[in-house]
Amino acid sequence: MSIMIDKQTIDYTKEIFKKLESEVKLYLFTTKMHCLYCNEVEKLIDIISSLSNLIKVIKCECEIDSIEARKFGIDKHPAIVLHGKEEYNIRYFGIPGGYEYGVLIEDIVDVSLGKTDLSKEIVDSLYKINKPIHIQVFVTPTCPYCPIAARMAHKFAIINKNIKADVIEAIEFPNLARKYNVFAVPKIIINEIIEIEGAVPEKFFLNKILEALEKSE
Amino acid sequence: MNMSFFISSQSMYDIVIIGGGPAGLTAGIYASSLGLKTLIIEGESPPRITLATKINNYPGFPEGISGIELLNKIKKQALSYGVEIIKGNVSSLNLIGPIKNVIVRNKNITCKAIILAIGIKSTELKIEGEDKFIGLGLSYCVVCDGPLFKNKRVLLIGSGEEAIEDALFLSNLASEVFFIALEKINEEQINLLKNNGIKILEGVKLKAIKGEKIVQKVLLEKIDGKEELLDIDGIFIVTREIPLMKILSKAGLEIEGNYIKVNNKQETNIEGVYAAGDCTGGGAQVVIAAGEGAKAAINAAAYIKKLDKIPILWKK
Repeated sequence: MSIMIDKQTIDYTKEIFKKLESEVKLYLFTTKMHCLYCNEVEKLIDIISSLSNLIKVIKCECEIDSIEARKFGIDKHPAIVLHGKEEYNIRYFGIPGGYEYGVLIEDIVDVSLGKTDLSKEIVDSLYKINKPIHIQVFVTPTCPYCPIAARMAHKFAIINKNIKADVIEAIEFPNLARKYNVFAVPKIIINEIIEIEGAVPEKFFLNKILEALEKSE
Repeated sequence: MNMSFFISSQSMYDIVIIGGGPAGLTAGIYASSLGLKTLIIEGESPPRITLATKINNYPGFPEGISGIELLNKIKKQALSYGVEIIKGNVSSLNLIGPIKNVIVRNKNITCKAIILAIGIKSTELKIEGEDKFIGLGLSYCVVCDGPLFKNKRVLLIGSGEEAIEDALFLSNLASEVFFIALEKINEEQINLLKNNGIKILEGVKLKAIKGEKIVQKVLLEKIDGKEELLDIDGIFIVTREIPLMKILSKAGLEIEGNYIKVNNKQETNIEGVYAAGDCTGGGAQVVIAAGEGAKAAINAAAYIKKLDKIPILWKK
């Protein structure tokens, strides 16, 4: 598969990147072993990083038991971790293609600014979370609903570092998709105990996180 | 890749109205007259008003008027205000956030506010097991969920061009694609499906979807009344009467009974999404539908005015 981004998209991405303030670090984890789109993700990240001087790429061609991968909790490839104004737990597993390209670009802006467009009410509630939350959002590149769920999970992780938010391209990780019965996307799993299907309003999503916390106790 | 992957980059309407009945068209008149760029998406099937041979209680027509005639008059008025009208079935929606998406035949339409004037449908397939297996192997969105069925056996039941296109899309992914046509398909379509390895199941009716936790089988009834089980991993329903309520519910909209829940401003539980007409349970009266359409448009216009003061991409 070759990576092609048309000129209009490149120009639009550059325009969006004018909003960047702090340096953004994209940690890219690839492997030569059984990785469907590692090469393509690397090419894509190279293109994206060439569009702004504020984007730095740190590449690690390493297995999941390496020190670097363990430091970031990387258990599958390809993986992208986004750090910006601060070090966030925002990760992307698989190729951010199709509708997911926009998710990555808009995530880059948010981590650079260190803020989101979430309402004050939601932000205040998120601040209060003091236990680990792991959100997994399963997506496909052709799904128009998916960016909403993916972005919301990542925004939550920007607000509170107790939240780790993974967006997972379901087709590349069939075993995980099978494990969580992913037959429709987006599908959101919170702390392995709460499942949500579809893009949901931010308050609903937050309530499900709080429900997961209650059930985890 | 192309620009459609940026939600914020599309040619954008202020308001998209889904439904071309009295509520939708009246909303269109009001939205356009308030200077908003407005699109109405008419469903493939005619609205219920067209079934009324004579409406005697709509103000201004003391002699009564037929449903079709009244609808045509309202439509003419909407067009005169500059409303754009297209025909098509909505296959998916993204309602959350300041920019919303409506997918019609794989075309992505973006807007700031949506008015749902979808009426009430009485012709859903009503297949046993349909509700139970949504998201567990049953899907209404082939482009979203089709890729999850790579190298699997799937059944597509549907009607119209879209069903044919979607079956062809699936044939590139799934190991086997079975197709049940709900309407007669022509020779050219049959050849197209067969040439792409799609197995057309003729003379059968889909009676039930079965499985323990996920879709595993479908029960088919043949013309002679005999029943047969077919092993499948997924089922896609692509009909002219896509059960919009189910799609809306998946998109986060609050549904109460068979109706969309609204407040007295026609607002739903999602910001920027309004509903009007029969779909809100307004009593199936044309005048009420038109009134709710007007109210929804006025309130949506106020919402857009407020929204336009805030940069769309990164609202602070």
